[in-house]
Amino acid sequence: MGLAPTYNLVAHRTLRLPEGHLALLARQSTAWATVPAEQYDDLVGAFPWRGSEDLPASVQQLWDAGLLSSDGAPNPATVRAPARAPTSLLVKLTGACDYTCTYCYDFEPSRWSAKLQPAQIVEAIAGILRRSAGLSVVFHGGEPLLRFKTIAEVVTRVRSDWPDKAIRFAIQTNGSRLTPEIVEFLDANDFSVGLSLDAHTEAGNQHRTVRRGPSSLQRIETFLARFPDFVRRRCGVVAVVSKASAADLPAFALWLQERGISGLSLSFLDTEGRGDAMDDQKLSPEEAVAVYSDLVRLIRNRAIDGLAIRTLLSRMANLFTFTPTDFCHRGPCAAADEFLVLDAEGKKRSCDCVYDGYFELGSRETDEQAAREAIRHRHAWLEREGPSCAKCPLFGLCGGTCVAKAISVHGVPEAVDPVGCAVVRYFYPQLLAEFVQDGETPLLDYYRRHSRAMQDPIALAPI
Amino acid sequence: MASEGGTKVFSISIDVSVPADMSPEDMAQRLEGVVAKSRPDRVDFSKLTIRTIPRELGAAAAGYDTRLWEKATC
Repeated sequence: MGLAPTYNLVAHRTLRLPEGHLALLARQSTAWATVPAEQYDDLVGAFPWRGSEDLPASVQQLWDAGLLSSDGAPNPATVRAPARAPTSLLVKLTGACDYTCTYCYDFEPSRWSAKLQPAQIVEAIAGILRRSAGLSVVFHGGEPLLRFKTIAEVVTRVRSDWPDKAIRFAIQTNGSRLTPEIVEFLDANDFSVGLSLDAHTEAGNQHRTVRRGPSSLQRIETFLARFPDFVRRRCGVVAVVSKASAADLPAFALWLQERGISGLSLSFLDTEGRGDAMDDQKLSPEEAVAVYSDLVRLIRNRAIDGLAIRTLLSRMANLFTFTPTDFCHRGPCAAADEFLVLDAEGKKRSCDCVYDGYFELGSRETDEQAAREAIRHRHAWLEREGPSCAKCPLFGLCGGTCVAKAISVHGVPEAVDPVGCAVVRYFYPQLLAEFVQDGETPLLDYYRRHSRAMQDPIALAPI
Repeated sequence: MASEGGTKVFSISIDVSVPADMSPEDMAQRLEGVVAKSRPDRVDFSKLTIRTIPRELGAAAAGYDTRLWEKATC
């Protein structure tokens, strides 16, 4: 007969919540639980705990919640294992675009004429599928629909070569080139389509400039009117949030919802690429929090319901799962394992958010391992001694903010994105406070409804 | 119990009768059980009110597919 294991609380920090509650938040995972503040000392004093009898209910709860280790090892069901192969391949078909957006993070004159050839893309996909059961392929650019023939060729070839693999396709487009033929192709091949649009007003889209003809907003409006069913079934909207668009965001969200568009994702402007000198358009941390706060208000008063605001839902999801699926809102982020970018020049990268050497994966497997290890190393460094993160109770839920944005702001990866940090410090306390307070839980209910729509139902109840 | 500076020091003596042929592992377990029961500040777990949200273990969907309509990075 072996010795009974010794249970200990995992490394955690506490966050004071309303009504005399305290949240215990793990450092190395998204594990959390709440306890009345006056019970915290008793809880800590109960460990290490060892016993050969059945676990007391509270010990079992803490074990299931990922807050205990057993003989030094965490509950394996509560730890996210690194992916063995990329799950998503982002294909930057071209550096060219028919728009001239003034903030374009992707713009670089030397990449403008770069084009990926179908054989390069097919080989990159094959390289992943040889060692995995499935893959999400995302066509990106520049404007990917400038290369529609290449997309069609790749999709047809991959479907033919790998009939037994689970392959999903997505595309991010400005929508200007969507024709009935392309819409039919995207529909037939089960594409998810992201449309780029910053607002429902011309002023809010002032940075989304075109060379000639109708404005970017007018083109999207035309598309919505022409293919309403396709849009409702397959499309969501990605908006870059700048000072030009931030104030209109609540009304924009309602505008999208009224048109039956099911998803909105926000990307705070980075001063990269063509937007390198647009500091005056970049939101401050306080302004970014105000954007979150406006959207939270709309959800709380039930004005926003059917529209899935992905930016909020992906952060909420971390309270509901030990295995966060969002690529950015976790630590280490997907650049550490499951994200692969094939850029327009044929280079492999772990992320496309910033064109920095930090994300280049090189041509040898050892180069890739080293580059991805750097992402994990940054996460461990932030947890251990990051100026903002080392003492932050929300580190396990946040993961240390986006490394690309940290590089964009500070020039080095060993730093945090101040905007990402501010919204995390605003948003999670709101959610946790709602959880411990008596009464309605509109934010958590909003997540639950949309989670049901996306996947299996998730129960919401005290354990 | 003695006090040294700010630290409390406990000295515990335990008499345990065990069969002569008891294995070291079983012996350790017996000792452990005795010590655990004698712990002066043992917490009554039933009085703790711990709450959290039951987790989904292994999301049904993963990767970009859960992030439809987003560009692949933030």
